[in-house]
Amino acid sequence: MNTSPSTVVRILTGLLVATLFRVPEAHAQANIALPDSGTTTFGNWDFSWGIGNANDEGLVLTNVRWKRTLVISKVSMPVVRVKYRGNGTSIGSGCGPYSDRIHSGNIERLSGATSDVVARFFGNDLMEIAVLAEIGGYDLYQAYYFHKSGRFEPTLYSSGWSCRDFRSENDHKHHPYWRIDFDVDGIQNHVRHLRTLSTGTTYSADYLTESGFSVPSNTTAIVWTVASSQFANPNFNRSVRVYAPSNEHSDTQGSPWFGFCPRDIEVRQYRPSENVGWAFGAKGQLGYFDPPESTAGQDVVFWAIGHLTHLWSQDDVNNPTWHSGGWIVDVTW
Amino acid sequence: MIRHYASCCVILAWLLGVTACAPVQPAPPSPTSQLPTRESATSETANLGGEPDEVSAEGELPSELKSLQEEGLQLRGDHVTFENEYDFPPTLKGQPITTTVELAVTPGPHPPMRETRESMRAMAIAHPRVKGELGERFSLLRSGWIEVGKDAPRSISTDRYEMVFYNYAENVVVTVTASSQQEVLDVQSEVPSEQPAESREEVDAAIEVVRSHGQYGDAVKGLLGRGILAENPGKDRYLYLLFYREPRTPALFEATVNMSTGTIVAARPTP
Repeated sequence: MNTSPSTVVRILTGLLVATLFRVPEAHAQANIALPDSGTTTFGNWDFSWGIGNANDEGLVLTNVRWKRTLVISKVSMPVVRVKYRGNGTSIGSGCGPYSDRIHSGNIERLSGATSDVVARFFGNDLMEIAVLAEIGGYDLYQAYYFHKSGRFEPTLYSSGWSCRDFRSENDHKHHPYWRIDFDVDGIQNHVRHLRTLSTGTTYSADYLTESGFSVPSNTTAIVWTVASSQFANPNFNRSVRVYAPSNEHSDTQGSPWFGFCPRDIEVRQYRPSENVGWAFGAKGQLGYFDPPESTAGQDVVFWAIGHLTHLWSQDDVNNPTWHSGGWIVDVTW
Repeated sequence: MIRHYASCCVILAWLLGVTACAPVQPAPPSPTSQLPTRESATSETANLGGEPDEVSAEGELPSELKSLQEEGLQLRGDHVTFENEYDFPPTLKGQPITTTVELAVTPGPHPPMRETRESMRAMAIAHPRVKGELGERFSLLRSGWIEVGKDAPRSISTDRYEMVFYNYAENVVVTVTASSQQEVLDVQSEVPSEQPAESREEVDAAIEVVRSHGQYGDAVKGLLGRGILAENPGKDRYLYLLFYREPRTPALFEATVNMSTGTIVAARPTP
C-alpha cells in the first residue's frame, strides 16, 4: 500500500486528537455500598429497595412514602425493549428486537464497588440509588433519584451496541418500561391528564378503564395526575404529577420503526397475577386490557414508557457514550 | 415450512397426477447468513387497546387538574440531567458528588443475592428430581425471591425462592421452587411461550462454545465476551455474542451460538 505524505499527516493529527480527548478511565465515584435489600430515609422520603426478585425487574423500590404517606407501593423496570433500524424496510429489519431484563444473573459491579446496589449524593438535596447491568453489548445503569423537594425520578442510562450492522443500520431505540404501582394515600386512585396543544387549547382526559395514551405531535405539554380517590377521602385528595418532558415521541407506523413502541403510558388495574415483570417478549405490547377493567377509583398501575434514540457514529463505537431517559413524579403535598 | 411445502406439493401432485412428492429438507445454515437473527414482528404490534376520551378543559375540573391548570403544565425546579456522556458511572450537570452524607440503612431480611443464588443453585442441581429434569446441558437463567401480594402477610420462613433453568437438549424451561430453608418444593418443566432472559452463566457457556471451536477459538483468544438472547424463528435458543479487547471499546468479533445444539450458527470478525 502506498501512503502519501498527506495521509501520514492525517493519521498523526488523528492520533494527536485522540490523545488529547482520551476518555478518562472508568472509576467508581464516591459510591456508597448498600445491601441488596434494605430500608432507608432521605429527607421526607422513606422507602425500601431490593434486587434479584423472581420477575427480572432490576432495582425495585417498595413502600415509597413522602411525609409518612404512601405514594408508590412498588416501582420497577421490568423490560427495556430495543429495536434496531436495519435497512428500515420493515419492522423485522435490523438486529434484535431485544427485551433487556435486569436480574440477579446479569447485574455487575462498578469498578471498585463492593456491592451491587450503590448510592450517591449530589449536594445535600439529591440522592441516587442504582445498579449496573451488562446485557449484550449494553451497559445499563438503572437509577432512581430522590429530591428533598418532593421530586422522584426513575432513570435509565444506556451505552454500547448489540449489533454490528453497517453504519446507520445500527441506529436503534431503547424503550424502558417503568411499572409504577401508585397507592397515593391509599390504594384507590384515579389517573387523569391535562394536555395543551400548539393552538393553545387545553384538553383533559379521565382514565376510567384500562387504556393507554400516545402523545400526539401537536402537544406542547402534558401532565398526568394520580390522585387518591375523592370517594375514599372526600375531605382532602392528595395527588402526584407525572411528567416526561425529555421523552421522545412514541413510534409511529411506517419506516423506520413501524410502530414498534407506539405508547407513552398505560394504565391498568392492579392484579397480583399481573405483577410478574414483563410477559410479552421482545415484540409484544403490554397486555392485560382484554376486557378493559375499571381504573376509576381503583388500585391502579401506571406504566411509564421511555423512548430513547441511539444513533450510530464511529466515535460512539470507539468510546461508547451514555444516553439517558426517565420520568418525573412530583408529590404535591 | 416443510409442512406447508408438503401441502402445496400434495395439491400440485394431485393436479398433475403425480403419485409421489418428497419434501425438501432445509439447507443447513450458512455461517455468515444469520448474523444476528431477525424475525418479523408485525403481528404483535396490532392490538394496543383504547385511549381515554379527551374533552375541552374549559369546564369544571377535578381539584388536582384545576390546580395544575392554574400553575401551568411546564415543569419547574431542578431535575436530573447528566453532564459528561463518557463518565462511568454517569455524573450530573451542576450537581457535584457529596461524600459527607451519612445514610441510615436497615438491611433486608435475606442473605446477599449472589450468595443466595450460588447456594440455591448448588442445592437444586444436586436434587435427584431436578437433576433428571435438567439433563446434561443446562444453565441457570434467572432466580430470586417470589413476591407475595401487596396485602399478603409475609415472613422469612414462608418466603419462596424461584430458579429458572434451561434444559438445552429438550428446549424446556425448568422452574424450581425452594423454601428459604433450601428445600426443593416443586419442579416444573415446560416449553416456554417466551424465552427467559439470558444470564451471565449462560453467556459464559456460549463463549466457551466459541473458545473451544477449532476454527474460531484463536480469533477470540484473550478477548472479553458479552452476549444477549437473540430472536430465533425456531424453538432452539440462540445467543448473539460480541468480543472485545477491553471494556467500552469496539467489538472485534461476533458470533451467534445455538445453545440448544451447542453449535456456532455464524461467526466472523466485526466489519
